[in-house]
Amino acid sequence: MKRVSLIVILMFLLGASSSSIYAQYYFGRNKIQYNSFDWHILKTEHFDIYYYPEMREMAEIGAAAAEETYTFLEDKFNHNINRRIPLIFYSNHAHFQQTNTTPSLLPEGVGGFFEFMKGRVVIPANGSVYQFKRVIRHELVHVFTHSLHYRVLKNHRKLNHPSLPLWFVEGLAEYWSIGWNSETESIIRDAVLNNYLYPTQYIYQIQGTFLMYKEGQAILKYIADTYGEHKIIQLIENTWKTERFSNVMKLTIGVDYKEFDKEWIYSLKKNKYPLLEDHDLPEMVTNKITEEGINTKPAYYRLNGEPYIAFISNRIGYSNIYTKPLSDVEEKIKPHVIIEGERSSEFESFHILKSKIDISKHGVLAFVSKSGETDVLYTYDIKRDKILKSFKWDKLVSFSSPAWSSGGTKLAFTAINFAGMSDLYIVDVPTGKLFKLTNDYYDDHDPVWSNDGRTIYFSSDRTVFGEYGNYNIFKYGLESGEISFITYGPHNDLTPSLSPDGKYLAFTSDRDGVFNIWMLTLNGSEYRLTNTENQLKKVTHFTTAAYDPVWTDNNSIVFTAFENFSFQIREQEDVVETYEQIAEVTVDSMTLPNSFWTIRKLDGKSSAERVKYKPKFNLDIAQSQVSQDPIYGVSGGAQLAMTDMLGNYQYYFLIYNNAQTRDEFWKSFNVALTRANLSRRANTSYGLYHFAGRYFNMYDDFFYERMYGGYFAVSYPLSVFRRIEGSINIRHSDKYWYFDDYSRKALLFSNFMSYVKDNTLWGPTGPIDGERFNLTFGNTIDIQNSNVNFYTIIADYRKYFRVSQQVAHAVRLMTRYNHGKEATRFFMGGSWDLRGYPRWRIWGKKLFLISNEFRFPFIERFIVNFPVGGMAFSSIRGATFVDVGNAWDDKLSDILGSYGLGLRFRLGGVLVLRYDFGKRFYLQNAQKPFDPDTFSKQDGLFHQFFFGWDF
Amino acid sequence: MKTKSNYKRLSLLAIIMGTSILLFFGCSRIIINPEMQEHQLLPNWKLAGGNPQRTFNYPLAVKPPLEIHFIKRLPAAIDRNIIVVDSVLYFGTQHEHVYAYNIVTSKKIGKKNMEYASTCAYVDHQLLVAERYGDKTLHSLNLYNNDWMWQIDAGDIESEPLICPKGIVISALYNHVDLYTIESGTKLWTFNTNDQIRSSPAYGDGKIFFGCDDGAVYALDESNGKEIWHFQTEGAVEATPAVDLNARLVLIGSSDFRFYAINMDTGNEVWSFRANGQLLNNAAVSFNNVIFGSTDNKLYCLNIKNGALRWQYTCESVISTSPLISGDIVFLGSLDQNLYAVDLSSGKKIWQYKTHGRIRTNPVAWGEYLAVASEDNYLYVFKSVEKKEQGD
Repeated sequence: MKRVSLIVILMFLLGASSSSIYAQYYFGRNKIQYNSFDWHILKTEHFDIYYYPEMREMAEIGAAAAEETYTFLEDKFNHNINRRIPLIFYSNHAHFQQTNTTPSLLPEGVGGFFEFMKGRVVIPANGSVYQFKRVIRHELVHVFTHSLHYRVLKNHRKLNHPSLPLWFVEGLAEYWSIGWNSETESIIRDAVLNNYLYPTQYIYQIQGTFLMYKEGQAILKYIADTYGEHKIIQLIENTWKTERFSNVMKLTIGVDYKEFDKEWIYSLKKNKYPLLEDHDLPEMVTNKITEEGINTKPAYYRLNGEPYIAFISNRIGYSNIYTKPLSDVEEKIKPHVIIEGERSSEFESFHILKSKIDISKHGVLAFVSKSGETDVLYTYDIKRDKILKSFKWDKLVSFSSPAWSSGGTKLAFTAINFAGMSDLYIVDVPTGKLFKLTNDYYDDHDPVWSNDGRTIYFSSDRTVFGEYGNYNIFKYGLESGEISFITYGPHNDLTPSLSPDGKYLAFTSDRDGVFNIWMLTLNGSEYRLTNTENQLKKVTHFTTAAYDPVWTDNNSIVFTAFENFSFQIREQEDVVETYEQIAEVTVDSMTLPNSFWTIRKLDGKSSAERVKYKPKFNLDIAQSQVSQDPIYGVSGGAQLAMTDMLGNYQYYFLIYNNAQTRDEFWKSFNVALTRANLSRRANTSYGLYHFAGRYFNMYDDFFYERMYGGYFAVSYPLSVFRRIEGSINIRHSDKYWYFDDYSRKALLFSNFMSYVKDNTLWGPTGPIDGERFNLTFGNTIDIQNSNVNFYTIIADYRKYFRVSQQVAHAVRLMTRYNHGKEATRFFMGGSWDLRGYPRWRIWGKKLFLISNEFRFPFIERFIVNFPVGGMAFSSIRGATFVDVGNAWDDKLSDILGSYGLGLRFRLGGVLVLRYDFGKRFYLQNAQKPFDPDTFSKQDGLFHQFFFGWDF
Repeated sequence: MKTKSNYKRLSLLAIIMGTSILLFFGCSRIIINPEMQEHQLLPNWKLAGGNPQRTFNYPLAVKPPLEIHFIKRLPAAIDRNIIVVDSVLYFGTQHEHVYAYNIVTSKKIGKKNMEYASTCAYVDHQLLVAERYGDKTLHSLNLYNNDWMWQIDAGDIESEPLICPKGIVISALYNHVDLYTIESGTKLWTFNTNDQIRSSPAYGDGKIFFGCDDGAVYALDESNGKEIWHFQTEGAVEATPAVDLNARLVLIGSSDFRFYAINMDTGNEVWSFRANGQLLNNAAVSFNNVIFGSTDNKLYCLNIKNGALRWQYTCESVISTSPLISGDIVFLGSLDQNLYAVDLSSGKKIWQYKTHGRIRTNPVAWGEYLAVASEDNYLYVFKSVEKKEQGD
């Protein structure tokens, strides 16, 4: 899913004036700058912290955390960073997704990043101060690791040595920011007990995945525990001695990858296997409700008396909200989609791992979706299949976990405001009136109502242990406004859920290592933590983890189970009986009554200065190249790219020359300067250029053209999926055709407008679901000599019909139309459009193309092992196709086509190799395309090798 | 018959050949003229720490303010220690060379090609070169004729060679300490440890002391390499011990944040002091003071008898070198790129100089000169302005 950059527009514009360039990537989703941030810089001892005034407090919290982390890491690494480190903060993830510091669209799973070119660290807050600090530490570990490693190699003049392996880099960042926690423990247990743990020898097969992060963390912990923490830095310091990291390990801790795997995996097995004695895998002791994909956040309801659950799932690639009968434990009935996500601007994202959903007793679903600038809270009548209401408020950006009151008229939920603070709110659904329950730094989550509507139970880090990222369960008395502890301790108690009769409170807790379901009794009396009346007991004993427990009205709890590196909905039956039979009671004793933690901000010890942000530019890319072509000879040039710290303003400079003699130097001089402004919702760019040189295309043959002029372009995103683009280009064109010995001067004025939509879902080699189109209108006119005057229409529509998880039927309908004086030709032919025909050998002022392709998996994954290491390749996919089309100037006389089979092989993440073979066919009378007498086909087969994504 | 053009051609060829030979031999040689010993009376700095007790204490005072005498930029970073003998600076780099420079004239005397990073010590007219990695890691170079006297495999060496009465002691990275003869490099004994060794050995009164990654400080009998005692700390010991013969103490820091004073005869702890960071570098000893730096950015001065804090000085970043005591001045380098001069009695900063990069090479003094190296391959030699003013 590539974001269209204005450089592509420039290329398109320039191409449209000569030969046509219809690059494969003129679709793409949009990164939208909804907000215009008034950036300031907070300068501390070691950091330049970029923030906007609304989040000033969060910035100061982050600044204090950053300085504290800097001191910590300076000691750990015995190293420092001798430049100021730019930290760019956003108050929430929705704002973070607007950042121009990276051109990529940022998915929800990205919690922050360290960017090498400018050494920037970009981090969103997410409502939890602890998590914010943890991510700051994670990214600063990267900064220190990168700096120390670079220094070691530079001192020894070994800069050609490879980078540190990614598992080490990310594992160290996780280990030194988290240490060890229940999430990591769950994942490692799951990997060991379900036999998918990757040894270090083969960890490249999960390169870049979350599992790699966690395994890296586990490896670093093992090295520290077994060999000493000092060995971690020694591993970095020894990288100058040898290129292979396996050998670095051998030199440092005495074992290479193979030997290390043996002892590490053995120690894991020794530690995890005994768990099975008194713990179970969730799939062995609970009812299966879902099986495919990731399925989370269940909600229970009855429809026509039958028990149902609703949940969020990405089983087809897009996230949707589904329902299914609870009794269908073997998933014989396919879950029914009630809300489609990730294809329209109303439902961009349901926050699948973060936000719960809830259903009232009247069958109304409450859920949250990202919708444009902020989240929106929706209510939806399941029976009538209708959105009832939607809520959004100024200054509230992100919402999560709406919960109905028992009467079904109020919703409690968590919201993060513009400043980055997470608090509890209530909305009165009929009136839309909003009430704020809490107003502080603490992260308050997952509210649930008591049956009498007077109390809200929720999870919060407002405990004294919150400083270390721990959450306890609290209750909020709506009449008194008082908040009191329900649970207490240095662990995480999350997602409380009240039984239908109001007697029991179930929640998930990691107090003994991983998340399991716990219950306590709410016996109505004044709750005291130090007695045993609440009968707190552990109800499940899973080896991995259980989240989001939700009561049914049938003495069971549905929940999300983590197992086999996936999330599935499962049902635990006879919960109350199980609870009553458990003898062991846990008592939370409050040792520090009413203790909350004070969040540290910058104090007097750290000096800080605040200034308004003014863009300053530095070089991002400077590269030069010299090339030699048998026809055009030698050319050489350079390009530079400069941006400001926030990536909002960009300059591109291109210079090259392809003169073959000294006389030609000025005639062959090419230079272009572009400035782009991405700071606002409408992205604009403008530039000047001078291009001159010899060109060739199949229609014009060899020609010389000199063009100089300027352009202005704007791209306005209507939503993540749709945008309007416009451009104006004015240039002087001096063109000479060699073989015709004909020259033409013109002052060309072009203007184009495009409407683009793209909501496709991509598989390994191209789109497999959704649709995309590009509709462009334009006009090019010679305003001086009237030598050129043509208009342009381009319509390119592509639709992908999902047949199954990995199988899709793709259709492309495309037409391009130039009409008028000196209308340029479009070119067709080759692996990217009309297959079987030589690349760009068919041309005309008009063209059409219809493609049908059936895409399916062929080889899922394969690994090649060499003596010195291995490489893992993702899938080889297959295709069957039929293409028809042609290009013409005045009259379409015949239709060309091809059919065949193809293979696509994704190499290295960005390069797709293509091989097609089949037969060409011809319909020799375009007026009678179905007349069999006019049909002929090629003898033999064509074979085409090329590269590029599927259309 | 030879023509003029033939002569010209032959002359050119001779010049080219002669230059090539000169360049070739000039590329890898260090030769010291034994008669060029202008400053024989000045104390030399023949090994890291200045003496076998590694006290980092130079008997003459190099008084600030200092001015730059010369700066050289080398092709690679300079290793952790520089030695100065008879006005010649010797040091290894982290890539393939050992250099010799005249500290007075700033002229390069020569360089010697090695295979990897290396460090030096001096004994008699031999330059001992310890390489960090490789097949042959301990070399003895005859400085009078540039010949290798011997080259042996002593294992990878991350520490500094020690010259003691019985020979050369090397603590090798992979778990062993060895004694070699100076004349031939013959191994006399080996002592094995349980973990890697980065700490350099120090000598005192017939004993060899060193730290180990297993957290212990060891004392060995110099004559036979047998363990006399070991003292366990809570973290890896990378620092080199300093030995105070008067107080009969072995003084050493550990990565467990503690600085220890250990009885050199019994191995019992006499006192310890807790800093707020790791202690990875050597301490300097002067009279009743022991001075050391920490990764908590502080330079500590303690009473050597009881470990009481006399003063502390805070830099802007990690103190990354051993302190050097020169008279009543303490010099130290930091990752903040500064070379500091601090008053020994009060801990007050007297002078500082900002270099091109982080300083990880220990400062060393000789006569009126002070030498130190910084990142990005810079060698600095300072000269005392005060001395110059006196001479004017």
